Amino acid sequence: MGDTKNTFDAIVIGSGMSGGWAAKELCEKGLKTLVLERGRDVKHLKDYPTTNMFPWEFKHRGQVPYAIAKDNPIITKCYAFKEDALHFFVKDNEHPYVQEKPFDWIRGYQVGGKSIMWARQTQRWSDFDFEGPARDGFAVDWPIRYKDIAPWYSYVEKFAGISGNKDGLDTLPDGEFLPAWDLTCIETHFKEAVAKNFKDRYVIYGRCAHLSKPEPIHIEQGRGQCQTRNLCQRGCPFGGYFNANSTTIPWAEKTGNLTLRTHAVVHSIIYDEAKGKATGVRIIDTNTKQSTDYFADIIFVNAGAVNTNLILLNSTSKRFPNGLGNDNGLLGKYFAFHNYRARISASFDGLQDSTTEGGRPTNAYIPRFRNVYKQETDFLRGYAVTFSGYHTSSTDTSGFGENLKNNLMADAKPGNWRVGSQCMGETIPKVTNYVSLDKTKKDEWGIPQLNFSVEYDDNDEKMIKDFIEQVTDMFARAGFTDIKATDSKQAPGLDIHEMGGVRMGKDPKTSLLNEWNQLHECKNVFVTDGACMTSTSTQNPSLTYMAFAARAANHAVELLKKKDL
Amino acid sequence: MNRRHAIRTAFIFSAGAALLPSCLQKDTTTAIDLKNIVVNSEQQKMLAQLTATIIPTTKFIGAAEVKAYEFTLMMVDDCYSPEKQKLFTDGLQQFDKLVSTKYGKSFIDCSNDQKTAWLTAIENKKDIPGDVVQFYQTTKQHTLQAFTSCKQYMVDVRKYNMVPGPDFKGCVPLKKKVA
Repeated sequence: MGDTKNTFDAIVIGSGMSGGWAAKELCEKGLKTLVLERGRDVKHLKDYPTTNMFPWEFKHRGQVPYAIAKDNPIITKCYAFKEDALHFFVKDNEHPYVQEKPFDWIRGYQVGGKSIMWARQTQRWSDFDFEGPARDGFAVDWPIRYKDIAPWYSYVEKFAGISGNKDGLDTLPDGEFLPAWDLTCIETHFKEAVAKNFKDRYVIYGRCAHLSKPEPIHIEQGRGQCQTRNLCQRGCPFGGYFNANSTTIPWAEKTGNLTLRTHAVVHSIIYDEAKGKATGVRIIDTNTKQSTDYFADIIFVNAGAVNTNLILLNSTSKRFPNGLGNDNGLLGKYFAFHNYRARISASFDGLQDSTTEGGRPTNAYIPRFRNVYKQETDFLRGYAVTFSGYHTSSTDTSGFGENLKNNLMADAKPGNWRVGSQCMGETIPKVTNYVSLDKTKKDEWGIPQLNFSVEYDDNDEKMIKDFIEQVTDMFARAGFTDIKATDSKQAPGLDIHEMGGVRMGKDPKTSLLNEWNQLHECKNVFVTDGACMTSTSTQNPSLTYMAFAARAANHAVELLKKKDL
Repeated sequence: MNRRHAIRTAFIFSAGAALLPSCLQKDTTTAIDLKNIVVNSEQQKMLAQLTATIIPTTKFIGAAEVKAYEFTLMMVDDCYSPEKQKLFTDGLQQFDKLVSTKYGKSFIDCSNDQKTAWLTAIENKKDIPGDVVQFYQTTKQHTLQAFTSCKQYMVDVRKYNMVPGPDFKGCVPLKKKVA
């Protein structure tokens, strides 16, 4: 047993999107909670160094200097790794990992994690998603259905603040919404063209975690109305979008029950054979390299999909020689992601007399329309489609001298509209796609390096082909021209939606977690980040992680009260 | 004192003849700290004149006021690969060498007409070696960048607003320019 100063009611590993929620729920319900964060603290407002910088104040006007890009080729591929936010991203050379097969692993190691830089897109799952594996014969059946998580979607949406329209679609359940901003002219045009030409395809407002109109709860959190700067990745001076730093962590702190321990990377979860449960967590101070053990009755593993797998794999004991809870050998396996390879761009010569005014931190979204009610194509599942557009304007920069100067000073000339769509494809989790621990390589703290053996399959290739065909057709019918499709052939990872490895399921023989996100074989350990996902569907996943975390944390407290843990 | 300052300013910013003794040209010290590329003070002066010729100062500020040549050198120094940096500095050397061959003097000493003719030839890529075109296009790109991203241009000319506010109008009439 540990000394009292290292003993808590609960430990949460990770302070990001889902860990912040676990911490908030556990603290609010009265549990003395230790949150372990491997990176530095990032206090809301105080630690957003670039948030109020004007474009001309960035030395390189946003570009990443060559020396940084050269040393860090993987993170440089990430769209958000620019001069204004690169301090929130993990550098390749500081955190090496192994790629048995190529995987671009994008990480943010600080309080708030990637909730600082995320794109804030939020959609609920429906039973078309939860029933996917069972109906289509892949992975394992989810141990829950929509009705189990629906109240928790409502719960987290109200607290986080989600802007959206009630669209009335069975494929994408409506939520607790703050007002939506306008759709743009081009989105309305595209929406009408799609509705005219297709049934069951809907162009809707992209639901997003922004305070279009704060409710009293948000004011109480100290957050204000989104001012549509679209600089969210820097952290927001208005608290206008959801991140852990502005919302869940301060709320947890307010309870007086939170202890936040930064610069603490988790080595392993301590399992007590005699007690038959986990009793604590071993951390390594990232600065001093000193090891410390912390103890608690319940442990929430929210280190991010990949690192949660790593921690559990590294938590070996006589009882669990292959990783905590890993009797069936499936820990790390059935790892999946979102297929983001396909993109389409086009032009539109209509709507010449219209444009938009002001800013808006979201775009449009088309929920999955393939294989929804039945299997129809030569691939399983399907893809969501993002849609965005803008009215171009240009300045003539030909020539030099007074002519050029005059052109630069003149009003920009409006041109055509440019539009684009991105594929978000569901990938099928397979036993052959996995993460594992390298047998010899260790990181700076003596923790085994993570190895990726994940790749695309034939289903992904067919889906890309279908996306290109279908969206090209939809674009053409909307009168878009110069339609160009690209397959980026990027490695998995840049979707930043990696999931699985510690999947939920009904049967301990074929899954790691039960319906309450508890490890089947070690019930006081909970996993509610991306690692728990049995399938990936076609939604931006963070909202679902928040809902799982809140639901599991409340269940954990109930179990503790009943002395079931 | 004021008149000499004005003449020196005119010398640096305008495409005029050299009015001052040549020793003054060697007085210019390195304006910025370069870590990877080497550009001497003569070349920096040439670059300053080139950028000022591309975007002159009129009633509104130009390349000179936004220190476009310094910005260009800094961007090449910080953001370019060694291979692309070499292309730039080679192109820079070639640029002035070719001017000397064609007009018998350096770019700085050319008349307005000669400078215009020279840059026009480069813009048209007419009988100009690739590395000189590349050097010019890089310089022009960063001159445009320095100018169009400066506070005065963004705010006064393009009405840039970093905080658009909570309201968004999805579809408004495009304001037509009044003739």
